[in-house]
Amino acid sequence: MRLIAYIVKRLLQLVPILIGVSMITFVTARLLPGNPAVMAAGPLASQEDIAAVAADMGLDQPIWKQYVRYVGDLLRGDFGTSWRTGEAVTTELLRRFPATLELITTAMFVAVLLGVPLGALAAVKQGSKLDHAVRVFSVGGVSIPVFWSGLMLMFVFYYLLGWAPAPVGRIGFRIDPPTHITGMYILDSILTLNGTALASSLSQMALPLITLVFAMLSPIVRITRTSMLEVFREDYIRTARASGLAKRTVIFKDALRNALLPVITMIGLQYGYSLGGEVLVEQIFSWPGMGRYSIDAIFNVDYAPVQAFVMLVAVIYITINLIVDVLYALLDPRIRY
Amino acid sequence: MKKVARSLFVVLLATLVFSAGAFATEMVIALGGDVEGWDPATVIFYAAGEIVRNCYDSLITYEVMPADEAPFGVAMLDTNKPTGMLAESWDVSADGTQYTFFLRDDVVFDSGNPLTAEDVRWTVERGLAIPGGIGWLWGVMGVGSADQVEIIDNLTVRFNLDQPNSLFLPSLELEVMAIVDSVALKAVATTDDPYAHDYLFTRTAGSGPYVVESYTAGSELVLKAKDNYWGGTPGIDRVVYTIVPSEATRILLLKSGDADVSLFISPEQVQTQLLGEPGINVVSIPTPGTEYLALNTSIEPLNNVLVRKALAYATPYDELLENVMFGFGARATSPVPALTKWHRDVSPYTYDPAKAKDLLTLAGYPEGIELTISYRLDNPVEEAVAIYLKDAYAEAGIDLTIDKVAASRFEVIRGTREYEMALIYWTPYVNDPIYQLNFNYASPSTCCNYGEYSSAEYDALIVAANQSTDPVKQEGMVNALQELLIDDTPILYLYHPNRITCMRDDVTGFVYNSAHFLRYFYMGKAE
Repeated sequence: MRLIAYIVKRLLQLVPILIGVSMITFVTARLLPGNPAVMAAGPLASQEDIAAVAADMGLDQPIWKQYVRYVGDLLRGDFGTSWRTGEAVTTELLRRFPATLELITTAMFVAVLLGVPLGALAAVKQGSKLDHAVRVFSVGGVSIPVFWSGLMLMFVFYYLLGWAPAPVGRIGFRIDPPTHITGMYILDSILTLNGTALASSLSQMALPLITLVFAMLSPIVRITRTSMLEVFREDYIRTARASGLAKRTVIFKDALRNALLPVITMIGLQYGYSLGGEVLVEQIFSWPGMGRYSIDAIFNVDYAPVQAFVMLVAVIYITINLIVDVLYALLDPRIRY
Repeated sequence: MKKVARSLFVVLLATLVFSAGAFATEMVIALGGDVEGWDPATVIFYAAGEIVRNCYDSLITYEVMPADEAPFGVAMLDTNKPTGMLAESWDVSADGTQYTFFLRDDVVFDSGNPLTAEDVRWTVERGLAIPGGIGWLWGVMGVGSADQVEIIDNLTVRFNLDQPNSLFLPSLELEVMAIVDSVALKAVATTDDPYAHDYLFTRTAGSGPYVVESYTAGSELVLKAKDNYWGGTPGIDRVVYTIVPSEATRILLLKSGDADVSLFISPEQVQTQLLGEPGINVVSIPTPGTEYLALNTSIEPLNNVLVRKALAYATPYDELLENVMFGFGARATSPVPALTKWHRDVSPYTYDPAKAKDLLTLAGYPEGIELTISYRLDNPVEEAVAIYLKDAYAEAGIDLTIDKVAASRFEVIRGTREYEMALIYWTPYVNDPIYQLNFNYASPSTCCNYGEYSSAEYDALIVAANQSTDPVKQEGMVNALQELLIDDTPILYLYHPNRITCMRDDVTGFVYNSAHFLRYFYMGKAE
């Protein structure tokens, strides 16, 4: 019950935070170098043309008036329109965010599923061949940049072997995306029993997924291993072992559970960061996600999408932090809110 | 479970068979960036321009010069031979101020509405009215008001110019001059959007051979051929633009045959990855586009012509062509490009650091000078140019500071000229010497006088050249203007980059045009 009250309290705190974020993003977007009216008017425009475009975009108004209009639109659920594509930002976010969410969540899920046991195993068998192999592998994951590993995977599995489909995004050529329910193609294909779309979106995701898992795996493995080794040195583990509990029970029930706190913090941070978009992976595999969208918007001083993007990332971080805090309480009964 | 797997397999197989048979004449184009809004009156980006070019028609076009007659062995639009498109024919009055167009009677727009003279008039009115639109170009063409467009009858329309204007007719061919469906657009116009600009940003209302069938921002845009196009049904049924931001990925897509054309591959990658590869056809064509090194003549020390000449001699033209363009280009030797009429090889400049040093001493800078060069951060080719220039200029006692500018900021300083020297790629809308000489050098500064050049003698001459109706006199004046500019040196002409198009070798019907657009109406695929 107290946990629920805590969650509600944390959610209420969102309101002042979001107001603050909206002001900061509004101002910082306007600190971007350049002027959207100049971009929209094109390279051959005269100063009068630019002024006309600025007036058309409402940029000739004093900044507080622009902010009031922006907040008014926000309250009506309108994130504005991109000057570049002419599309409502809400529409684009509803398309882009699920693309990122689907890829990143799957990758994170696989990385945790593999990384935590691997890290724990490496810690249990510290100094063994397995431990060394895991360490070498995780150094590789950290030091090999994704644009290289992604390209190599593509070169081998798409170009040389022909196993992977053409890297043209979330779904193959000529295949219609599944009916929009969540915007996540794999989930939507399953929900609508669309076998073609499912097969295509799964195969499209394979290479970017492997690239991401490889990059995400190593920090998880390393922090699990270190954290486990620390816990092994604790008195209560020695006591548990001394009192005759089975090694298995001690490792998985006592040690791993206690070692997981820093792991969860790290996973939460990385997940939140990645949901902002993995620009390089999106770039290589033509994945139409958040990263590319926001970068394009920033380069083109496209205020509306930049503002919406920062707001969204803020909400994601707050939510993930909340989930991490709740998980803490579940894992460690000493933590109370 | 087995059953499910089997039915899944059948569905998959059926899709494969179906897709192989149904779209035999589909063309896949790997594009580097997103497609921005494609209202003809405001298009400024390449991809959007290509959409407009294929979905709309202009009043006139040019005859196609077949490959075996064309100078580069590739079919191209012959700018010396304008021919009717939406206009079946036209008359010009003896004094060169009245152009009467007789429209085709068999043209229908996407909506089914027939083409009328009012569509032409409203297109002009619209172009002039939309903020940031193509109004400036109508102005340059001598059409400052829609009242100058006179409807003679349903299929006859006359443009009344105040003076003869040599840019009027060639400009009409451009995609930004595409005629829109006035009936359909007036029907969707609102008080906030009186010219249906917001509407047309992501839709089409043209009479061209294609329509936009679907568009998913960031992923894909599909063009579909119309079956009732007045010019006949195109050979390519569908054009799929797939948005592939990574150059390396675009190269792999082309090599493996999944893409028929990959756009925007850098000269270095073409040289090392694609040239001579089996199944790949690299078409590299000289263009009138020029890489400028603009010298801001309004500030010290660049207001001194001797300093500007010193820079002209300190520039390693051949090295840039070899090491930056990998040979995909040509040396630029005049403000009027070699592929534009009345070009003359006027540049006396060669790489000569000793001479550059002498000129600097003469200018009063025996100790050398310090300068800053600005360019767009997202342009790796210009970055390479800047680095080579820094090295070469050091030989001549010029200390060059490199200033990378974010693209969005660069667009601003290009207009305000907040730079000492800037790398700017310029490609003329209209391949015409007077167009070019007017835009880049006439003062008071128009949009694109990148050197802030100001000369009363020049200004008088360019106005006279534009208004003259005598080609012989015009050519004489254009020659004089070229001489003037090369002597005053407000801009250094580095090179003309070739237009490189990388495609599969079964793609046929490529027709080169100075706007570089792929025109699918002419194209096909070999069996």
